Amino acid sequence: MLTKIASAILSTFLAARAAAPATAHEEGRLVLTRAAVAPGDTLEIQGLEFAPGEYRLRLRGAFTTFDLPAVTASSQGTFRLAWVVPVESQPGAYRLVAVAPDGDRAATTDVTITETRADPAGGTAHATHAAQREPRSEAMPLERTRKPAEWAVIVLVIAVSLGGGVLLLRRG
Amino acid sequence: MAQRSESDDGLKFWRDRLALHALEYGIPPVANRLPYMLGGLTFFSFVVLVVTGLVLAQFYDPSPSGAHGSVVYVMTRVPLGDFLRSLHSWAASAMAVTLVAHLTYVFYRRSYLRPREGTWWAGALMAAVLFLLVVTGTILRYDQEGFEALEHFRAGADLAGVLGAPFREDFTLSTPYLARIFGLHTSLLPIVLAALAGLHFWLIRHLGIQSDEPRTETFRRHLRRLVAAALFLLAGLALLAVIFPEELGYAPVPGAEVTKPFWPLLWVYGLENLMGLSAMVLGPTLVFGFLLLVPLADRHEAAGGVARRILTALGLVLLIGAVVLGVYAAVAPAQQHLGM
Repeated sequence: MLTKIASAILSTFLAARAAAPATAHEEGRLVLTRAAVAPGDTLEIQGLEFAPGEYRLRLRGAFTTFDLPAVTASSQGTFRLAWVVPVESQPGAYRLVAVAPDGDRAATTDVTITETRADPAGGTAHATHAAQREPRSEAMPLERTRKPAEWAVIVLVIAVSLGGGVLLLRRG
Repeated sequence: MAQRSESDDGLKFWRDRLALHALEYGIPPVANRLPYMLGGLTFFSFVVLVVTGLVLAQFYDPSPSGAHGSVVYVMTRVPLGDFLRSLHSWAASAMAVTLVAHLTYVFYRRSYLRPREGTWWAGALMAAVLFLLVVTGTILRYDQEGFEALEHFRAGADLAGVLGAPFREDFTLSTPYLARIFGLHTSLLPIVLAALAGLHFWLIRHLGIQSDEPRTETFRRHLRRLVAAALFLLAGLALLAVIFPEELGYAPVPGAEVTKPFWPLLWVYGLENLMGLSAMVLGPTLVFGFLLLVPLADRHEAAGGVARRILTALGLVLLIGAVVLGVYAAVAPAQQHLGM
């Protein structure tokens, strides 16, 4: 009897899984013609093995996120997009993310935005902001404010540590 | 007849259920002196590092594109994030200080002599693991200093030959190098450290500390004093974290070397100034190799032996040398080491 109940539950579960749409989590692949591009260059993106449907593309950097035009994966699960890297973008490491309609990540790949780009004449052209990207050893000025509740927790940690220490010493 | 208080009943409840009577074993009273608590305080600093690190790891993005931004996020947006990150950094400093003091005192007292060689070796290996934890922790900042540390780590793995193979970037291409270093810092190295600490504590429990005093004190009372000292240390670290919060540099520019490392690594940096990049492998090998050889080189009980005198001189040279190199590195201008 128990075996029958267990097998019924299992087959219901498996049937439900088979009927459910596949989740979009990391299901596709993003292929770039070049993984390193300079501001002003065209980033050519190809999507492969995606579930058919519309996807948002985002390029996430340390401080900036670019929203690229939405793309639609065909019934073969592919799409193509050519996107011009904004000239004002900061050089550095970025991550290109394809976001499925349910908000889940469908695919990711790394992109590097470089300082300079190859000049068609064969030389090297400096991007307009290259001078701003000198290496710096000093600390970044950040707005580091604390809310009253955070101060309360910190004061509590210090007070409890001190009080606990004294109490333990007095107990010998 | 004396009335039992509720707190006594509560303590008895936990004592029975957690077998705390096992802590009642005898130890020499000298163990309650501060120099004997330095190892315990090192361990406590590690506990603070684990707790704060667990919180920080929830917000850290170990990808090259997201790492620096996620640290900025921790410092500016996460409730108590800036405080916990600063506490993490100050606990690392405290651990470095107490560890070096503990090692020096144990070396001075020759507590590595038979039968405590294993206790010493476990401690020396822990020191090496802690060194790697400081290196990998610096990399995770992923600012200019962190990136330069990453480049040094990459070069060090190449220089270390076969031993460095698992730490080389081309060991696997399926995962970003930074993500692997994050894994080292948050899983592999702490697990190894915990295993070594377990062995260290086991040996101390069963071999005892080196002392001729009768064991008239109980470990439970010693533990109470140790926890009290640890709580004072925590209060001090929290104050330091508020008054001198840990900074973060700008997003890295590859190929440049304009920063200096976290202070426990400065002696290696100073050695690199003098000897070039190979010093980053040579220096730690020399120090940790020396520590591992100590119980083999000094094996006789008599205090005045030649081996003992040579060993003491070598130990002093290494300690003073590291301090001098650290000071020199701190005052000298930043230098290029990579690709030299």
